[in-house]
Amino acid sequence: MSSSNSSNVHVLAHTDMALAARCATGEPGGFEELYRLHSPRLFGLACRMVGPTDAEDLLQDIFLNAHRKIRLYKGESALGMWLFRLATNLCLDFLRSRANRSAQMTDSMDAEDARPTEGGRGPILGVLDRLDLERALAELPDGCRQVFVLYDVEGFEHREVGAMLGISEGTSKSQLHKARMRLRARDWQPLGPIRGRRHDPRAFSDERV
Amino acid sequence: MTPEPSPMSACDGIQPRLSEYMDRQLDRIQADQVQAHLSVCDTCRGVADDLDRLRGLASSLGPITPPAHI
Repeated sequence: MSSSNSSNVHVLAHTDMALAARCATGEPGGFEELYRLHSPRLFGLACRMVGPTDAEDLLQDIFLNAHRKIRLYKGESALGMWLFRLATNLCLDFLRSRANRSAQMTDSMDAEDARPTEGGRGPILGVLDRLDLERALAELPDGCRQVFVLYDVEGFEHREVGAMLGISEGTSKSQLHKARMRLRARDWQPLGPIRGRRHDPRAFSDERV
Repeated sequence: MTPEPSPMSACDGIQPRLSEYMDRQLDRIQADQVQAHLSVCDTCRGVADDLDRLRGLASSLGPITPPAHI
């Protein structure tokens, strides 16, 4: 690590600890800053993990929990990562309570997922945009959606995904492949052309930060 | 009379490994096997292209600003 990178890490750690201390002591503006800095990533995670309908309530739970636990933050990881792990755990708790977890997490690799594509076709995906993919994520079984979001969207390694979800690296890899194959096999046609698509107020905001 | 199962094609052995191949998680021998198959199989190459596009699109999904009323 270069000296400039090292000093940046120290500055960030100092900033994180300072912000956590401000939140823990109830200093005015502290928690608002925490929310402003970190809510977009955590809301994105919640939307993709549990769906946009429940994500708003879940985001409030995430920050309520953060408020209760911020005194436990010791600066051993970036504050954003600490919050991300807290949020991931709450997403998983939510999903467990929403449905029978064993049925969700052990959904079998359907024969149609595993069956190789036959014939001489090339790529089947047509024009695809982010909104299409956001909507399609909601249709995935919980187990493979969680892995897809953490690995392909958030960029964690299988080792880290496995640790967060309580599954093996091998299961993480197989769930990821299943997610990708299911998304590929999805019938994208009903979504219609990208240009001129009617606005769906329930859809994800296209606003990105 | 039960029809005889079709013999396993090369694609059956390749497609389940495509994600790991694209993510560079296969060992050299396995990766070479997949690469050799992709060089001669339009079908599997098409699947790989799709998975790669999905992967690229997923990595471009960013944070989402929460509604102001939260």
